[in-house]
Amino acid sequence: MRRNGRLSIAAVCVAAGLVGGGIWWSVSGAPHTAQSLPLMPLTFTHQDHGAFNCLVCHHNYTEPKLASWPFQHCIECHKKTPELAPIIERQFHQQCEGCHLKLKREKRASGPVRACHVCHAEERPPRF
Amino acid sequence: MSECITLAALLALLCTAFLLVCVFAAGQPGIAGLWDLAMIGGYSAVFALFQMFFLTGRPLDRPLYEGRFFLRLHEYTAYLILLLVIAHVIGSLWAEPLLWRDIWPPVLPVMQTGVLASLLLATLAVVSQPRWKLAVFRNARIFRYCHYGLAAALLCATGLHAWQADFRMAAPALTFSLIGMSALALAVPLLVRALPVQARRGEKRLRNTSGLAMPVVVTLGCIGLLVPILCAMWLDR
Repeated sequence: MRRNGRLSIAAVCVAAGLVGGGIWWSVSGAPHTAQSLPLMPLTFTHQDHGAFNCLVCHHNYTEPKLASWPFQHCIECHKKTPELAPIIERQFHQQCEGCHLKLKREKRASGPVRACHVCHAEERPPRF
Repeated sequence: MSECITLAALLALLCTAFLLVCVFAAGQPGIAGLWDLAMIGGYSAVFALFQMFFLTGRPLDRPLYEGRFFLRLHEYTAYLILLLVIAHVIGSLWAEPLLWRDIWPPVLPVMQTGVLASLLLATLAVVSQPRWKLAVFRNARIFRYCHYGLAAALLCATGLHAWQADFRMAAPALTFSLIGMSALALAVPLLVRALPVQARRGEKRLRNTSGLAMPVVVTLGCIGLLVPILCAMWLDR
């Protein structure tokens, strides 16, 4: 009976270890692969966002040190800067979805919230 | 029979209250009909999972039914969770097919915890079948420990999945409630075993009552599906 008890505890510990490891790997975002992961296609139209201040997104205009930065394209800079690469998904989702959600809660016209395929589509030709 | 109706009504009431709090307490708007339905359906599965930690298959003092009734109740609730999880997964993939790409790390941690929870649920469903139970576990004690261990891992992964979704659980009060309920659910089966068994005073358990487990679970299933449909319609009206 004592042997069975030890086996049970060992089984529970192994299961807990596997689950804990899986959760840690999942939550940590596996940073070693984040930089090499190809981005999903993304479409963004300036025309739809004309009512908003450019600086809401283009923060590099007000930060002098970024003026001489080698990457001036939003995604390129965030993807190639080692500190930003692992959190690029979270940052951009918070930026775009957060703003859309805020408008939706105010019952105003807003962009998509949690509808991945609307933003993550092949880029359409510019409308202006 | 009246005790069975009382139990079904109590579970239905608790499930409804749980779902209404989850849906409306954070004040989030509706997204899209099918998406909201799939997400709220996921909370129905969470409620049924919590319930399984309280109705663990051990006979309770009330209703005074035979032990098999409580075992059946536990078993059928597990099948209900499987159904609700399948509906949750199919509904969300139907509403947003691109989620399929987020299953693989490291894109969205919320999806990976969801996959982990689904795998744990599938594992539990298979190894808890009587035929597999004998083949995998040497005796009832080992089964009990491993079943509790896997179920605890499932509850943690499910709670994490709901919290990481960060939408209807966005309010701190809801997050702390989820943590508190998970901790309570994990503790209850251990506490019940630790407490001394009270002697009954001449009352006998009613025989041939295991069939009554089905209407209780069907009631819970109906509420678990009907409330999400009504909530999704209300949010997206």
